[in-house]
Amino acid sequence: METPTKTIVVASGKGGTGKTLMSVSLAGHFDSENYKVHYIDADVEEPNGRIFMKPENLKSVPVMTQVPEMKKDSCSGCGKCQQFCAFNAIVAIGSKVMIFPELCHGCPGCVAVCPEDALRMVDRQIGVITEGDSGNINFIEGRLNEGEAMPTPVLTELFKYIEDYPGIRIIDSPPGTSCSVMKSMEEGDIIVLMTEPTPFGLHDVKLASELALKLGKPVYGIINRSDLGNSDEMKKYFASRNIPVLGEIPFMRDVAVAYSGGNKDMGNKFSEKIAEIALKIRKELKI
Amino acid sequence: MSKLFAVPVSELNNEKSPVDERFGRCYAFVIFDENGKIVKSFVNENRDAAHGAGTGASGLLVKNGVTDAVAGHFGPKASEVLRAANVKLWENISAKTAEEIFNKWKNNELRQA
Amino acid sequence: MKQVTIVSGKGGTGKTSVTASLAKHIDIPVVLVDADVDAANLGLLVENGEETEPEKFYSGYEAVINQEKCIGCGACADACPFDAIKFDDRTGKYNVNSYECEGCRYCLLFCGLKAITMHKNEAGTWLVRTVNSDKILVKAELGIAQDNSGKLVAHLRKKAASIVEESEKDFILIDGPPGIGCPVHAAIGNVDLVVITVEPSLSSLSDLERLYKTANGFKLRTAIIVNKYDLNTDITDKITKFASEKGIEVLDYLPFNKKVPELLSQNKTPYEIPEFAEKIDNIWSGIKRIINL
Repeated sequence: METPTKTIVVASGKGGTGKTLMSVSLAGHFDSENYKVHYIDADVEEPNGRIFMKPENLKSVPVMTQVPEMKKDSCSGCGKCQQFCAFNAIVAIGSKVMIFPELCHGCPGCVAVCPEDALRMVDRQIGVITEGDSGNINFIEGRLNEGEAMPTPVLTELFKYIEDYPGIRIIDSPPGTSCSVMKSMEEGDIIVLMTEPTPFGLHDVKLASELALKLGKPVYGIINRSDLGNSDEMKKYFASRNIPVLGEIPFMRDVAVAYSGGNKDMGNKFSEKIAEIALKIRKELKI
Repeated sequence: MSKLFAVPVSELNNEKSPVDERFGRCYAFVIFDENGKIVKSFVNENRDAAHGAGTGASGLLVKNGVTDAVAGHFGPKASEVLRAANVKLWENISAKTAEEIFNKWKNNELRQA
Repeated sequence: MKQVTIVSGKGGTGKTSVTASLAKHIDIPVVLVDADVDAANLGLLVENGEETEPEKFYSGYEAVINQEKCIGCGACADACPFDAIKFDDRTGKYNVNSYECEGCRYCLLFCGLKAITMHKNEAGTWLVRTVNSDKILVKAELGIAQDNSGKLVAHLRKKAASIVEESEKDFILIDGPPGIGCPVHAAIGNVDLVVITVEPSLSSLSDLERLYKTANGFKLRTAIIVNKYDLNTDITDKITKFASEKGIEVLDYLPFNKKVPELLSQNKTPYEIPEFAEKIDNIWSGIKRIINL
């Protein structure tokens, strides 16, 4: 059976609400129904999907950005590069320049304004994309190297990498509502927001919903640990924004324990919940 | 070679300018010559930078020919830039005004950073 | 003046709940900083008080194309290294997508008509809430899809420091941002103690190691709080072992308790549970002891 290509983005406002749990579980479920599935870990600053997916046959591709370097040993020290750079990544000292690659955003402005053609842009690795198999599920992870400040180029590469991957693509996005999250949400045919029924969960899911709706995407909610807190208030919020709730998952201690140990086999009660949610998703995606 | 001593300040008020704890994001710089005369002072445009305020501020000082600089703390990038340009770095020991810290520097009361 | 930052790496470990519990039961005047600006939650648990008007916070710049001057040549769009400039079919001109624009100004080099100017980027808002004379909260909200640089965090801390000076308080408690990047550096720089909240999961353990490395790199003292420790005692043991190897004190172990989310939903802190109250008091004593307060 040919699976039409569909992308599900799993996001949240608050961290710790169960994005990875849901992404990994949905991937496993669709796989068990014989769909072609790709699990994509887009939380490039702290990708932990692999703890659960345990991928094998790994191959990696470096993610490169560009930084300037001097073409020759010295220059006039005019400082036009320093003046142009909006990020303080290049400083003129005496007869040469000092470059701070971790501050550089990769625009070739300094190269362009140098009156002596003393600079050129060269590649620099800031992260890595790793692909592997997790049974029949294809595993792809984006990772930003430690010490690097800018996750965006890794995400851009990651999404380019999976551009033509056919089947169901599940993107495990970072928490919050920053630029990285927006980039991830843009990839989705639907966005599923994980939340918990606490004041924190509500406050943060409002921000995430706003972002998703602003992008014009179909948005759905899932309330995790639904019996711990005030679910009614959460449901009221979703209703007010016309965001359908795909499911409410009560706290299950054995799921929490399994998850803490990196085990993605969560038991029958949980699997039933996932099956319910997956069915609704299939209906929305028309697959 | 005559020395130029840079002080980060949180307000511009000539010698009475209050010293700013930080370097990269200070409000302005006041630059003294060896005789304690203020030869230049300017607002630090870099303080608004999202990142790299330290390198930007250092670049400004280097451009202005500063030979000595004082701060509560120099970040790693700022230190790198300033040392590469042979600027001497001094640690601020709780002086309140630019004038006070200049005098401490002049009287060798400061420690090198 | 003493400062303590509470961080966690991964979200959901109970960092803000613990911070709020401490905040409510500290026995000295305190300035609280919610440095978790991407999802500022501490204010939800701290008592209400008079708030200043939200002030705008600017970080970086973004390019704006003057639609009257633009002739639609597209040179800027071709040049933009971030694909942030798009053609608008309806007007026949080009527009900068402010979410994608990084403020590099490269496009300015290509517009012969000088139709592009740089505008300050409004990154968020911040305010000060005065609960009473002994408790003040400084918080911010980062704008949607904004990049969290350390700048907003640094700004909040500077504000807190000036409040401490003016009001003769001695203690700043900071609810830190997630991760280990720039915003965390800004939240932990020069503090007297970095408290890491951990839950017993493999993800949290790996984040503990990275956070410890980061804090250690800054030569900062660290301590640990293990939350929901009984969900996986094997991993809790691993955490205890890690702490002992590195010479870090574990301030206390908090058990998982279903009542906690219920209390949070009533805007109460876990301190309401007697067992937790004892542990929070113990944690606070430990903190005071370590930083000599």
